[in-house]
Amino acid sequence: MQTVQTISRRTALRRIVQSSLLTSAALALPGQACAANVDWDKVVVLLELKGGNDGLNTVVPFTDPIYRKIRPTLALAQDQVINVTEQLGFNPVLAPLMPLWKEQQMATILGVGYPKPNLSHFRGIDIWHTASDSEEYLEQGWISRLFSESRPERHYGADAINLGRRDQGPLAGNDARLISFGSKPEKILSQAGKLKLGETSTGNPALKHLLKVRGDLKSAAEHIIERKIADVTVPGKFPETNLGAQFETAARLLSAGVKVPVLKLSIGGFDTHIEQRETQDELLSDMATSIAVFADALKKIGLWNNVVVMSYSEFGRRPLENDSLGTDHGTSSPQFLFGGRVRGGIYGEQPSLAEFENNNLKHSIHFRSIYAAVARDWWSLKAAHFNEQPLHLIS
Amino acid sequence: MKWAKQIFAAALFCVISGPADALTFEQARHLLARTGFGLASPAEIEAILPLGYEQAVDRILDGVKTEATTPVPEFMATPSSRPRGKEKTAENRKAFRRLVNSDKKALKSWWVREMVTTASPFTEHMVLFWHNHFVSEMRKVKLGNMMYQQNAIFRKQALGNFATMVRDVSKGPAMLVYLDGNKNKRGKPNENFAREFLELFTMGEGQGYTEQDIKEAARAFTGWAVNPKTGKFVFNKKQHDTDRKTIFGRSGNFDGDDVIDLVLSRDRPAVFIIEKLWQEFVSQKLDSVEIHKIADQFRGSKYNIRDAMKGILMSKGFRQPSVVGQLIKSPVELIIGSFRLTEIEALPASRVQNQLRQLGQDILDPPDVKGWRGHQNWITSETILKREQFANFFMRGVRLPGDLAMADDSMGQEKYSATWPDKLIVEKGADVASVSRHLLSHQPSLQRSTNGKNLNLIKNLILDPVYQLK
Repeated sequence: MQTVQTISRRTALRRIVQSSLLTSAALALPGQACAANVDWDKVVVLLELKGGNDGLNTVVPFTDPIYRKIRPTLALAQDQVINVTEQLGFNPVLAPLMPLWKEQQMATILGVGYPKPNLSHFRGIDIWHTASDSEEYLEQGWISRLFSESRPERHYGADAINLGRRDQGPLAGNDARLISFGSKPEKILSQAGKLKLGETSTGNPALKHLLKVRGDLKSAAEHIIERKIADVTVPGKFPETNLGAQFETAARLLSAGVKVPVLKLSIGGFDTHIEQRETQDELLSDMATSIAVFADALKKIGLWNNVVVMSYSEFGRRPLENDSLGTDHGTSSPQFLFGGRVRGGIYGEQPSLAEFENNNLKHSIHFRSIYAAVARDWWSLKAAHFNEQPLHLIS
Repeated sequence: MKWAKQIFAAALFCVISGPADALTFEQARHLLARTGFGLASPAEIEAILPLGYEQAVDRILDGVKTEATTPVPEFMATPSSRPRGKEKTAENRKAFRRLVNSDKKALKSWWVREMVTTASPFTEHMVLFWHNHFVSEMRKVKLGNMMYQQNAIFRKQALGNFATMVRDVSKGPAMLVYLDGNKNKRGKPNENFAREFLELFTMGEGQGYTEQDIKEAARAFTGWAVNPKTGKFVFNKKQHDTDRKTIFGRSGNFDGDDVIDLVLSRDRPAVFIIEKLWQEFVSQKLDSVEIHKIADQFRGSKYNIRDAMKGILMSKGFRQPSVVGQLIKSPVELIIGSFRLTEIEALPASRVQNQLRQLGQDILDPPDVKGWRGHQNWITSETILKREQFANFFMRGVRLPGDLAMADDSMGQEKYSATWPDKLIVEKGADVASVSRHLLSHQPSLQRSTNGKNLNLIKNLILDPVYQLK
């Protein structure tokens, strides 16, 4: 059984060695000249809030009289929220995140959206996942598309590990190597090691897909040494929820030294057409606690500076509540970034409640400005296809 | 063993007789595998082999049933209801949760049983298709009797009339609860149902309607509710918005039925439904010419589903040999199709249902209102392993662990008595090729020893990735 201390020391050592050798090693390897500065060792943890999270009850404009007027039953009172500015407060269930907020390791980006917002769950999330314009249909996910510029080498167990809902999302297309795990990755990996691989060339796309998933899994199993994961425990008590388990597995994988640039997590249930208060509070509380415990664990292991956690949701909700104690589909909403290298604070502007666009909130920040920050400032890619200026979220 | 003899007989039949216009073996298999559960038994193939192609299609269509043969689940005799008002004590709530749970298991097992034993697998395939189209999730609806009623509508209209189905499902208590229609009231409408009605049930996302149409339709649907006493549909006049609405540019004092009429008078729904049927039964690649032809007839027939399905099965697209084996079996097709090959005395229905869940198709509980995305999305790192484990355990025949994922021998094992297609296959002279062409749509992709004995031969074929295709 490995102890946390030894992992911590070993990992710390590895980090030092890596950072000092990184540039020279990358330059020295043939065929990688164009990727000299790209750092796929830096991890992005994507957190999808599925269903459309209500922004106005996440970051609350508690001094705005219109807020109370349009949310007669749902509005959070001034004395309930956690003040972060003179006009804005966090939903009280986000309290576990306050240490990160105070340490300036939590960025709150207000009014995130895009022009001509789509209010369908499914088209909405496709737009976010492919980083397309509202009326543009793209096959490849926004991260897969980055692989055309540089791809994680073969010794990365996979390009991404999906611990949440089993869609391809930002990893769709472009031959991205995406594998998925439940809470027992070691068991899956040991079974995967026994997979028989045969002829992989075929003109049948369905069979090709089957064989690719098998092949990617088998190769991941070979690169991710299972013993490491099985023996690793991480400090802290994660919530006993599906999301808590996802974050715990993420922490265990990273702690074991599994090399993978992207981890995708998700939590569903945000489609609060009825009885929103209880549901949303429970979900946000789960999210906040999970992230807080995850951050603590990674700090202790010495990896917190190497990870960015990024939230997203297909849309926010309608400012005016409906008659079922809930809200219908809306547009922009706040999103969050967490990490040791994240520049904490507030970005963008709180959308006005006095001036709607088709009864919905206007956006102030295009979501692609966040993606551009991750691609350019975190992974050091050019990501020339993002037209938006990156927000200066990461130092 | 019957199964083996049939394979042998079918193979022989094909060679010796076969009228000029009769089906080929491959055509028969393709028709049955695609309309049924991804596979056909030798008896099923033998039954249609002497027929011409159109005759065979008619035989399959005519075999469709409007009612299940499995006895109605016991809980339907005394349907549960939610505790209301003063009944809402902690104790009652707890009892209610228990009831919901046991009804849920009973209903899922009931449907599994029907799928395995029905003489018309096509019926259940269509029921599953409609369930995945007009999605309701039991985890939200909770009451088993509501989900049972909805399932009965899908079966009654499996090849019936789409317009009737749209109306019956929309007014069904399961849908009214699932998409909050029940809470949609005059003044501040709840848009949940109206949006998904247009986006997912009739028009297709962003196709020929606006955000404003959704809002107006939501107002028109106000007043549709479930009577809490009877559990049946009721039009609650007091909650209905009687003001003027404008939908698709037409104005009037519309109600929910008017919205359905307005929508079904458009061109879009027929195309949307035929495209979806095409992807389910023919190919992921849409053939716009054939689809529009069938869609025109579909709308012209006032939404007769049987005619539409006949159009699809008779289409050139469906009959092209190049589409065979190009679709990935759903978990239901993989598991139910395999079980239908065997003769089972005591089907472990709840175990089968549990396996469906682990492979990603928890029947009556689709992942969200869009349903299972299907095809390539069935295959993830985990499900590919679980699919192989299923094949292993299926072949063991006498044991079926509760948790396939972990393949832990200490897990509970349940015996069921299945008579397997084993020993006699080789002994009676059926060769590798004829067993293979029954089980697989085309050549196996893995080089495995095929001269293993009997069961091993079948096992290798069932373990081959090609067994996952239909």
